[in-house]
Amino acid sequence: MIRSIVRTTGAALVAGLVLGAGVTGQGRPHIDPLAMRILKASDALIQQAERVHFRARINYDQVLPTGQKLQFGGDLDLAVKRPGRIVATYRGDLDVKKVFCDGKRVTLYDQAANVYGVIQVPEKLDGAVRAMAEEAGFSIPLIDLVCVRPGFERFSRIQSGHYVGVHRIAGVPCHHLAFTGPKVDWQLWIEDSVRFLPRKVVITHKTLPGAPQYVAWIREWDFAPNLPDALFTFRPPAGADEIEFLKPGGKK
Amino acid sequence: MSRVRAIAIPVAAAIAALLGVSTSAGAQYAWGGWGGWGTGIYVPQQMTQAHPVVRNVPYRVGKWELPKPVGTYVPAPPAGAIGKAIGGKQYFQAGPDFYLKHGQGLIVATPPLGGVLDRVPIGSESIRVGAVEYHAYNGAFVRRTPKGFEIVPAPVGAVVDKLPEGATETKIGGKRHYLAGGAVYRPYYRGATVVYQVVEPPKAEPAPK
Repeated sequence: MIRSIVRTTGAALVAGLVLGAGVTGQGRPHIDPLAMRILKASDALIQQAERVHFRARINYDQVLPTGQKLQFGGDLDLAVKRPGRIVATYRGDLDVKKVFCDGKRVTLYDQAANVYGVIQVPEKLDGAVRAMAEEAGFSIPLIDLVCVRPGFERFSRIQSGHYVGVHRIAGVPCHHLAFTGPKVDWQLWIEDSVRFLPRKVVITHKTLPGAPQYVAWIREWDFAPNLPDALFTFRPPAGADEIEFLKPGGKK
Repeated sequence: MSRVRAIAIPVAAAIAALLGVSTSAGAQYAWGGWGGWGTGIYVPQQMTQAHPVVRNVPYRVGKWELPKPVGTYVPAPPAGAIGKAIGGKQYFQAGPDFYLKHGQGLIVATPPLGGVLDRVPIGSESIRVGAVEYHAYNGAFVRRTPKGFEIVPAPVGAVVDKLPEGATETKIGGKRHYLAGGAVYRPYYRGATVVYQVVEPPKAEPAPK
């Protein structure tokens, strides 16, 4: 149904993006209610799920001062079991990291250095994610997709939002949404079905030199994965040492 | 035949420092959710000899030549290199680079304590400890003194992204530390990035009677 609305208005919206840069006649930013509705529908579905598992391919730019861009990437495997369990493995070109949250503690493991850090966190997912950001200064890639997030506050600073059209990601027709914010612009492709699953994310850090981009292709969404509690418990590998977190923004 | 070791290793970090961006924010950008929302250019943190993922990142930026990474081999002293005896070793200094003889040629060494530069090395990481500003490059710390920019011992409290070449792991009080150039480094996380803080060396154990 949404698609039919889109087909009639899509071209006009794209034209609006090109011509008006998302600004209405009154000079105020335009946020398309259709784009917001799809975004919120997607959020609601994922955030109601008791168990979620997905995989993602992430690529990101490194900009050298010459303007030359290098692209690096990694593969993410993320599982969440509410109220507060998270396990994530990120195998990247430059680092391999794992995060375990058992509902009480979060452990961040770095494979190259063979070290891990632990912080105590609230029982629920959202609180745990917030504690990671505020007390330890890190976040899990794409965790924003599954919880009410520190990142979502940025969503409240959306300056404009557009519905671009229906475009395929890995063969699946998706609602292509485009938003702008003060520091980043982002695009989201959400599956055109009752499942409203995010399939792709592109973030443009427009205020940084060379406007590096972060791209994630999300696949293998599963809302009934087998997730035994033991999966969320960190067992230090041989020789691993615990280290502390420096307080974000300053010394220990 | 001489073999050129992996150059370029800390160069990206140096390049980022050149622009005055925070490398920790950069790391956060790479790793963090939604791209981390970080404000910084991404800088690879794991570019070490043991983990050579990226090689040959250009270390000349426009007309500026960055300090050469420790271990870079050259067949002959670069133009303008000056012979200097520092701490009982014979170095050839060219700008911020200190060379030692290595086989038929020369190899870039960790800058020696007491070495003096005429300017802050391009791409060095600016680190403030208390009221004093240091510049870190190639595992060494530079501070302005009446002699110029002098290589000084690692200041306690400084946090660096990368250990000096040849740092060795040890346990102090059951915790992992590293020893390099007479300084003691303790690993911490800064965000999701492993960094190293210079700490006070442990008090000598009282000798058993």
